[in-house]
Amino acid sequence: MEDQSSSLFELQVDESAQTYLRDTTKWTRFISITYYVLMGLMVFFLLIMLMFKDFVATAFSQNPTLSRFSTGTGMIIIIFAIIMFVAIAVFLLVTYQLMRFSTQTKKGIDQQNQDALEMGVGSLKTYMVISGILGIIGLLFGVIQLIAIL
Amino acid sequence: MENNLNDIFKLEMSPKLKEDLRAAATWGRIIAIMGLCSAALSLIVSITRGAVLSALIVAAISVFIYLYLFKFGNEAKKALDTNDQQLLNEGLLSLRTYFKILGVIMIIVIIICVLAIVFAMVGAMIKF
Repeated sequence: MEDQSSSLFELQVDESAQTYLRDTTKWTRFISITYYVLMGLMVFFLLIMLMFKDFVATAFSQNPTLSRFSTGTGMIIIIFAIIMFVAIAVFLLVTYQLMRFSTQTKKGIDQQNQDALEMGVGSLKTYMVISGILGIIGLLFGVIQLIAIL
Repeated sequence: MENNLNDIFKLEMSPKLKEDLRAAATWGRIIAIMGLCSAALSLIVSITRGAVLSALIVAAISVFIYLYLFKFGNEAKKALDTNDQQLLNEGLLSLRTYFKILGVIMIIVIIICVLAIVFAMVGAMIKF
């Protein structure tokens, strides 16, 4: 009897919870697809920049005002590209987790599959953890910038 | 009775699901606090540079978004601690609203970018 009454008050993934989670997955799917496209565009522009780095360096050296920056311009472009590729890789990991949350949670609810739902919510957790750590790093940079200004 | 409940809701709030949801809620709160602090910081930086209006708009949008994430974190955590089904559903609703607002903002930004590209192309064609 005690077991029966306690199961009544246990949390459930009830109809409302399922509806809210399903709606959430629609938006997270859209957001992650947009992020993927954005990252694709960034990689495309970075590759173009790397392909034309010699051209940029020549343009810098020929310009009277920019010529003093021309030394090592190609190297700076390569370092910038490497940093950007690392940032994109981290961002790709975050977006993959958000996409996984969308697909697995939707599958879990549509097929009433407990394992898929658990996998989906697990991905949401990973997404939140990585985003949180990135947020802390971003905030630290913001504080450094503020100190530099003041 | 238990069997009946399981028949109605095949998906159950298993210990793993609870644990992951609790972690997501905790980190959601951390992200929200970080976001609010970042918004305040960027507002201060922008004010020192003189771009007050745009900074105010960005800060207002950030506060609006992160409040929902904070609500999700608070409500989900409290619901898991007290076994409150209604509070859990409210938390999930806040999570949905958070991602919905992010999605809508993304749509607006995409439309603005597409319009800017179209106007730039039309401008270049007229010049040519």
